[in-house]
Amino acid sequence: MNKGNIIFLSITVIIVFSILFVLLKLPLGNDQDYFKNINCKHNSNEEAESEKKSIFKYLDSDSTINRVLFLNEVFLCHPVGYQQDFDSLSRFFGDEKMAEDSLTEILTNNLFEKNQKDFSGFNPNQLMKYIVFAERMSTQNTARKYKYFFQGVHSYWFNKVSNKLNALVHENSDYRFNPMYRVLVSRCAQNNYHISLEFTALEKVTSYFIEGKYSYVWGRIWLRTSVFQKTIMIIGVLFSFISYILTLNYILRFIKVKIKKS
Amino acid sequence: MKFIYILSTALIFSFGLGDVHKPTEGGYNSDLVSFGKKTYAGTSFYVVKFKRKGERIKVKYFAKKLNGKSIQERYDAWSKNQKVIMYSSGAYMSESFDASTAGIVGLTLDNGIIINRNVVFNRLSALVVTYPNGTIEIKNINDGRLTFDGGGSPITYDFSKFNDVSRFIDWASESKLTVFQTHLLAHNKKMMVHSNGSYSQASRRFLVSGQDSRGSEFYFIVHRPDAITLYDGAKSVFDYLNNNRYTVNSMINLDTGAQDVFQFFSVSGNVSGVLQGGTPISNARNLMAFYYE
Repeated sequence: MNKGNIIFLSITVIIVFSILFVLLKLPLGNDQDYFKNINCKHNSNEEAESEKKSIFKYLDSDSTINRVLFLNEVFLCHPVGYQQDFDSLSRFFGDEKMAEDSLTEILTNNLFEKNQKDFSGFNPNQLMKYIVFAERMSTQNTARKYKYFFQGVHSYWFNKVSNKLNALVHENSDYRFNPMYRVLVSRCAQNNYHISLEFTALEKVTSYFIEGKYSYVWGRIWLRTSVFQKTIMIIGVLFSFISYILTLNYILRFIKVKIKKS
Repeated sequence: MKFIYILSTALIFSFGLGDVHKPTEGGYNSDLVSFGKKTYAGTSFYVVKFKRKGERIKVKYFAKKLNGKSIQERYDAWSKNQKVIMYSSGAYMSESFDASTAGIVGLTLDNGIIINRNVVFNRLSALVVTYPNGTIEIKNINDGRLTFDGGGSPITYDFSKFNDVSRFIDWASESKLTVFQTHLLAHNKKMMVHSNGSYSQASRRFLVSGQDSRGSEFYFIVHRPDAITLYDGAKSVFDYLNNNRYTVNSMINLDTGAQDVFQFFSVSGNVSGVLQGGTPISNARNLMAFYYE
């Protein structure tokens, strides 16, 4: 076997192992198995308790909301409670828009400021807590005048979570293979919030080859390489091609000799 | 041995066969559209200029494959009776676990259908809205209060409040608008990208909305086939237009990645061999078409 054949074989082995490496990194387990570990639902006692919670009790005598108390118990309050609170607030403020803005501000920016640590690093259980909170907001069969309060809070938290997931995968693309991360992504997607994933250069090239975008791969290589790199690349391709032809030639001759001998 | 040579030659040539673009009906007013190769500060790029006088130049955007129809199928069906001037890939495409949602980055609606509710504030600050009447508006989403008047009566939404963002999405859906987000490269006569940004080099394509010294409004599509960073590409186009006494109202980036789809048509409807992208329309995950009506 000549040197060209050895190089050709080496390149083939590298490509095969690279593809295997990418494929083996994909998780094979069922995402739902990991999902079981995430306690994202209120139990029945909490549900019962939440019905009793009303923001009205957090209203101070000077018409302000006791935000600290309210935010401490916000995840225990059921959105039905918010709707009742909203009516109370409207009466209290005498202005629906003001009530909507006040309650929205508490359940979005104020809550985020209080719980900012939940969004540092990757806390899947905490992120799931906000997803469940946001989902409960969107499932309310509300009268039209409350619609944008619920939709606004829903939209705020889904944007917070999906933008966090976007940021995480841009920092480290390996998050794509984390089952908890994948559950969160699919949960966001179910609600029409889609995460843009970051693929590595090797994965992109493999994907483009699978999709048959050869001209694109060639175009990118041609645009991004210097004349020297192009020359080396062409010599390499020619060398591999010649080695390939020589190998085939050698096999054909070997077969012919065998046939003649027999 | 001959068979191997024939097979390899056929394979090499087949790489280029995908770039087949169909001619279109043609017949647009050539007084409103001009194009040419321009050289500025040692770099060359192609510029297509659309005069907005009389609002005869219109824009149609296809955000996503819908109802089982690919972007190409949707474009082919729509363009049958249209005087198409050019088309280009638009918003960025992303990878996804789910092929049906791949290609969607940022808030996206297609003809009123909500595709993605995820609003990206810092990275993709251009909010592009196309109306059923063919008008296009480009807004800086970080400006907060945005007024949309392409549909007739102006309407304002405060994008710093999510209850108002939800109102906007409902309004866009009811009005059958098409909405997407991309990089805002320049806005209100100022560059919005900085030289310390991405160093990735690629061919570039920009959509610019601007006006000349007499106040006449134009759209420009600038196509740079050579590899360049986003900042350098945008800066050279910004400077070129300023140097030619055009004011840049807004400049956005059009994707030239794996869906580098671009085709310009002559007045007679023939494809331009120069003003075209590197990949066929079948690769498009979204598409922006300029047409004459």
